[in-house]
Amino acid sequence: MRECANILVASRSGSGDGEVPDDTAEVLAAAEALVSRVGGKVGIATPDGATQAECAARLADLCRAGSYDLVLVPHTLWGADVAPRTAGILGWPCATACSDLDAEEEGWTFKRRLHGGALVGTVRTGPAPCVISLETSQPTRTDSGDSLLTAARVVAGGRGVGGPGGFGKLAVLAEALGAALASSRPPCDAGWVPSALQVGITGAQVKPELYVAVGISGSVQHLAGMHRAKCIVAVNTDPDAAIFRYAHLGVVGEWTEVVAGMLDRLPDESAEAQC
Amino acid sequence: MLRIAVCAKQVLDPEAPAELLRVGEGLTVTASGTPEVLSPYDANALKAAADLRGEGETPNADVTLLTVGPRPAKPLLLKALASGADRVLALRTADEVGRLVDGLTTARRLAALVGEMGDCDLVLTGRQAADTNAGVVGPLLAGILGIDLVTVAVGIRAAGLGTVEVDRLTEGGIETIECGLPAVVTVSSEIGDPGPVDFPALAAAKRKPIRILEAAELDLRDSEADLGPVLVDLVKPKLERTCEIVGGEDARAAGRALVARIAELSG
Repeated sequence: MRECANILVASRSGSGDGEVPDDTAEVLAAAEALVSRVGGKVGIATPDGATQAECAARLADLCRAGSYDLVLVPHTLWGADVAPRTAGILGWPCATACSDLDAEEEGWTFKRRLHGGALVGTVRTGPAPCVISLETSQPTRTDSGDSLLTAARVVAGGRGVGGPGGFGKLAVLAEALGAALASSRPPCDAGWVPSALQVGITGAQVKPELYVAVGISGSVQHLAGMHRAKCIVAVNTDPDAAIFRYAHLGVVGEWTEVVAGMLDRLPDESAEAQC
Repeated sequence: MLRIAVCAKQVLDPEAPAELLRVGEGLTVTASGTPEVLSPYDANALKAAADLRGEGETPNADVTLLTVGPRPAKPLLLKALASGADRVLALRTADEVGRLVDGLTTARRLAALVGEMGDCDLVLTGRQAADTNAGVVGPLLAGILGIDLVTVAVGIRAAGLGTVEVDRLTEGGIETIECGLPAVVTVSSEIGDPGPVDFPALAAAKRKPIRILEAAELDLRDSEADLGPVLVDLVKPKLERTCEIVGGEDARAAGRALVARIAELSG
């Protein structure tokens, strides 16, 4: 068993009152739990206001000066950039979007999702130092009011929706549910909707309370973006569609009819409170 | 002329249904009947390069596609050449079971390929691969090459001499920065796809050079790779659940019943 961990936790600074953001607090807790078992120290760096390049350079300097052998950052857009950037400067290996970090033998073990979450890998590091970004339970934060990433409810359409007109109808359902409108990859490729609406490996990864997938078959690509939703609802004409394997609730049927039925019960936004 | 390298990985098509994925001996991942494709974000990077290059007699850039892997697939390489690459430089590696997570080794190999190119002003690659979902190779490559890095680009334009203007996604929204060259830029899907290729482009692609190097031809210190993280287990998580099928007299009635069930479950 590894006997000592010298961990540097790095973060964007919080609201300015000296507190770290919630995502970093989770990373800090994981670091402290590790050190309480194997010994060592935890340092925290909040290279504030700097560009990501400056942050990484500063973290690399701190690692060299403070003999840190493990850098942990929250896996946010910021962390996903700074972690491998810092590793690149130091020439250390880097793993991103990890969870279940633990000490084992000479190094660390952790889990990470592969193939968009369809597979989960267990990874073991050697004695060499490394940089790891950790998944946190915090929702993805953007300051740009990106409604899809932060939406509590999402209504998404796929190839089965048939065209831009179909998405117009889905938008009505989305509004009635108080949901953000989203798409799988094929409609974006076809130009039916802007690519900003895409949920999947190459789009947004969302964690809403409710995810309604309409005319979506359930590819690796799409599953990666939505499988962490609390309640997944699938509407598809094909009873064998893969999406039904991952959904909590499903309706097999023509989506226009199903959505019309849903709207019967959701006449306007005031009905949303009952849903 | 701008010399661009596009680093692209060959992966199982992520559009395949998730239930086809199988973990075989030595933690190799297969998916029956699923073709390999260029990882989608890498295809976006190729599109960005093709846009910077432009078409016609006097292109504004020269594009080399770099790829590393055990089985470089000629049809994919030809498609890349038809989509705007001027040549392919590939490194054939041994099958590396369990090394799926080691982006540092891949970055070192790509750095060797960039070195093989001679001059290179701009290295483009996807923001992450569709199989490992790691997003570390581009940044590690920038570190190894000791050049600037811009991540998650949603737009790239040629600016003044030796610079490009990059729109990048951050937590604060999209910011536009001027980036001095040489640099590594990782590309997001907003850039767009190369799209389908037509027959004349494919015919022209067949006249473009594809050079496949063996690992022994490059001076790579593979021993260092042994220090990197190793995949020791790979399982299918129980994402699958029993779906409660909501029915009704007809689809519309089922829709009405669905709203009631959603309310019960979230209540």
